[in-house]
Amino acid sequence: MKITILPPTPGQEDEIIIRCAQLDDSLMDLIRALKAEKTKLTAYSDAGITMLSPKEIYYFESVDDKVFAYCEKQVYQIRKKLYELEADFAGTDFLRISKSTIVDLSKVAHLSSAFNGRLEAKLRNGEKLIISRQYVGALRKKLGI
Amino acid sequence: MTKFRDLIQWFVTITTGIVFLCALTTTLSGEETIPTAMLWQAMLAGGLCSLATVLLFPSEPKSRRHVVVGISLHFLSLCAIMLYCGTRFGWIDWTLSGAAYMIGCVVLVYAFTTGVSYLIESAQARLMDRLLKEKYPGS
Repeated sequence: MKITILPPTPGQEDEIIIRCAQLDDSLMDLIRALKAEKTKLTAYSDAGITMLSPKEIYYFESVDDKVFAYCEKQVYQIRKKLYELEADFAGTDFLRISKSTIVDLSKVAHLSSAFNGRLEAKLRNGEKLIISRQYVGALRKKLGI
Repeated sequence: MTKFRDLIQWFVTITTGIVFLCALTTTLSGEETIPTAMLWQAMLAGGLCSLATVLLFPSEPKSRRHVVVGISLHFLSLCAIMLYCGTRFGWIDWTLSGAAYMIGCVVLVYAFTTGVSYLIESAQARLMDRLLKEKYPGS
């Protein structure tokens, strides 16, 4: 794949043009990742409404039919279902690791073995998440194993 | 499909442990030959134990209590299976010492399979951790 970066003409906004004979899965993943990068999520907390960039989010977790976005120190409620977030962020660094959790792999500092085929993911902010057995395969695929 | 793969993996590991114990026991008893039936018996016992493992071992425990109860039930089921196979196939006499011997064997095979699983899973985790750090150098 050839990548060309050109300076814009004065007044022209940044633009990404994808020229291809056929849109395959890898290109679709790239497009989704670019879109997700620019997408802000409406997040709710006691302080009010915040527009969250995906880069700030460490993981999403579903608790009692509510979905929460966990950032480095803050927690926000997101008014979307977990499966919707999974679809929105497909092809990005976000990965479903259990029935109730989607994590940003770029925020994982360390992986270690947990009980019975599960993995423990230690995040950069010190939090620990468990990767369920049934989702370890998806992680292996993401890492190219 | 995952359950079936797990069943096969457990069958291989547990049967290896049982065959090893059979070899050790018959060697120590001075026997120079073993009946062919013993090989099939070992595989049958391994198959029953691996089935019990897939069905009873707590794969996604919700709490520490769940882990303790699950493992206890699993261990007791393995003891029951091996005591039945042991008396049915003539490996042990149905006496206190025979039962104690068989439970001791179960403990040894349990330790062996746990050790093997731990080594395999730890190696997998280390590989995945390395690949993750290569993919995301900043983390």
